[in-house]
Amino acid sequence: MADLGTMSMLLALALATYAGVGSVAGVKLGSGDLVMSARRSAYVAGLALTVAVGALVYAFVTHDFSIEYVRGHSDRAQSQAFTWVAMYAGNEGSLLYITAIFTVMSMVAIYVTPRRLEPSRPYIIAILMGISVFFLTVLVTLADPFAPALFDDGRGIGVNPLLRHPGMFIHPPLQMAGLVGVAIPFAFVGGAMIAGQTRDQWLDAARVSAIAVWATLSAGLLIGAWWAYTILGWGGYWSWDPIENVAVMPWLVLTAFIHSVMVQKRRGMFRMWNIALLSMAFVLSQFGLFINRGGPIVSVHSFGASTIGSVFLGFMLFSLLFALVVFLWRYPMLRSDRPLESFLSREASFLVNNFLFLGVTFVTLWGVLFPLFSEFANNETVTVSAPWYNQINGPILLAIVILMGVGPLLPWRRTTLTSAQRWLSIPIGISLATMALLWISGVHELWAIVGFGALAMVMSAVLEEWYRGTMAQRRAGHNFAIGWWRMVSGNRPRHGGYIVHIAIIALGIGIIGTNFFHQRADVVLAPGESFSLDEYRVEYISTEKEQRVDRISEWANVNVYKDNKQIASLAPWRAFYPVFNMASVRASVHNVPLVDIPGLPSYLDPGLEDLYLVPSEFLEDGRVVLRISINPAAWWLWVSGPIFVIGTMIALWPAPLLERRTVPARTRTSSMPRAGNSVGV
Amino acid sequence: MPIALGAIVALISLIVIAIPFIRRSGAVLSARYTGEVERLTRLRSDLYDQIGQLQTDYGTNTVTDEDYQHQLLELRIGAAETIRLLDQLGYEDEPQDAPAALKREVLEEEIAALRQVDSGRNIGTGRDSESGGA
Repeated sequence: MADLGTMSMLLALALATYAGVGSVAGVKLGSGDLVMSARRSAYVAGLALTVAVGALVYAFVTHDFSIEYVRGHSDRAQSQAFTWVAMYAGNEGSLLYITAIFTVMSMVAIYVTPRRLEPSRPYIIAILMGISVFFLTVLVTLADPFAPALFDDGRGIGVNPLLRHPGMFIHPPLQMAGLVGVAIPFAFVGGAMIAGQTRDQWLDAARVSAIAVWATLSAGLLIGAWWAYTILGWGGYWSWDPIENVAVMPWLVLTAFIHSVMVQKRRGMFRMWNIALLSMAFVLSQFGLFINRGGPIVSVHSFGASTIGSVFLGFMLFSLLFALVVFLWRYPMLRSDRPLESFLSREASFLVNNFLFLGVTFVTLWGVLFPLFSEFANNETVTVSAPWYNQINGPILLAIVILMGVGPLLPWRRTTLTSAQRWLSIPIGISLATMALLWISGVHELWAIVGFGALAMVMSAVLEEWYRGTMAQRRAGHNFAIGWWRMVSGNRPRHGGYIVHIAIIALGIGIIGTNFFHQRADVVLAPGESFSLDEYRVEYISTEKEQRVDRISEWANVNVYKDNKQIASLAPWRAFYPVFNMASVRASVHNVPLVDIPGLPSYLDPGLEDLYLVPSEFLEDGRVVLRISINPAAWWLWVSGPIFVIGTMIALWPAPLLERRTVPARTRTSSMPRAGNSVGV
Repeated sequence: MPIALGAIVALISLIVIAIPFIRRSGAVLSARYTGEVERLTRLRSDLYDQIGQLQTDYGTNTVTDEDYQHQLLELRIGAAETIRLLDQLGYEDEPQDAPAALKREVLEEEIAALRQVDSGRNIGTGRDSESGGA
């Protein structure tokens, strides 16, 4: 299979090079055949890479330890299911995955490029294939996943214990696809700029692809957080680790873009700004790949032993230069159609929202780079940790949430202060009432109260919009449900966006709950002993042990009581992997429901708090060191995921053709003579 | 076996990318690829901008009535001619390009109205009349 994999990669390299060069050469030579052939080459490059991935997966599944990468990242003892996904557990395989998924995504992007971007398509292909060629060159020269093993003793080393988790099936593929996928909206803009389509021809393609990539990245980040929550054993889900940061930075910039692109769509403004945002997101995604692939910053996620970091740094700098040159070249043609009329308008609120998102991005970037600066300045590496990020980014994120409640209620162009007061009075009133209620009910954490107040304002703003829209539909004779649906389907991007705002509210509830109200205790318990934390009593019953070829597993049998009534039996787990000299834990999490819905499993009931148990250590004398945490509202973090997905799907769902045509078709154009024998590509 | 599979993938790839040449459609790229569309759309944008600027100047009394009417007519004729050439190249503004498309619609309506008023004067070219365009 190594031969097939190597042949497929080399073939893909040749095809991608031909696709990129042929597209531009075809335009310059005026050859439609060459342009079409080059485009087809981009399609089959994706096919060749799919074969290469298939070859590597096959090598894993059949335990072909004659390949060094397979020998280093699998063994016969690991679960068969993990052999299917172990291909992206290491540097070389994940790079092959990135290259393949990016080329396949490019293939789709090239295929669905709208007709209005026809003149730009060859340049879009050239940009996308240029990136593929870079990845492929690194693969075949510096990080060959099919390189032969130095020796084959019929045994493999195995996959990193931290990666043996169900999250492995979803988090890495989504996260990597989202990160490299940022290049696709950038390619639409870059190609359009090179072709001179400097108005809004690229807008829809860039917007739709950016939302798709943003949703992929969102899902990857959220599932990564869930993975960290259940396996890393510290009870948290986000630690502002450099690799988390480099993935979240493009996400933040894309979030800013998704908002400001609506201003360009509606008002013909922020064109330059939007291009700058996409360029920034693209360069930040390249920065992420650099840090991940052996950059100078240490992280639990990065491939620290990799030597290809400098190559990725070079490519990132090239990407930055390319984006800058293209932007400056077309700068004079990117003016907005009109100026900002008033700061009391929706477009102004989007602009402020953008600045805030960029604020969080730059704070995060500064935190990532600070160890390098400190080393350069003082010859001493100083890292910044979660409290620093929380202290600076926390208030900015709170301001973003407040703006989420205000922005959607402001009209486009301008409004008077009186009108704004009328629109905003209900959300502000509900927000103040929420804060007062929380204070009266005994919650005295100031920032948490303000945070919940802001979330209440966002929710009431969405509900107010929906109520007014639905009532308008009701006046037209529809019932409430049909009226609501007609309102949503009448403006899918907007109402899909509101559903995403509801997901943010769920996420916000989880973040505030787990950060401000969590309780934790580290205790040593002998069999039969109990420990009480808040309303819960945790009773340690016994330890069980299992020895396997690759690991020694132990788990504690624990009963949990609330008000002297047993509510759960849990078995937090810990295993030691001698080959890696590494331990891995699996937390036991019990969702204590806010409302117990009959017939639903407890993890689906709306959660009040998680009781979270991790065995830090099993002692020789039979005692266990248990970390017991109460994580309020943690359930809301994970429920935000499906809401995100629903909102994004509604926002992306294509409108019927008639709705999309905002400008009447000009019938006379059909009778106009067409120039030349144009390729219908 | 793997090498044979690889060879099959390579062969399929070769056939797929060679098909456009085998068919020899002889298609030459339309002007939209070779920069003509780019030039014309940019020209059209510039003309719109100039019209906007002229209207602003007129609003602030920096041009006389007579100069304003004269310059406006010239710019509109230029814009109409540019639009006609773009139409001949098969270029259509897409729906999302609404600001430009709307401007064009308005401009064409105005020009059509002007032509009706002053039917004795040909504000377009001979080719305009043939195509029935603005």
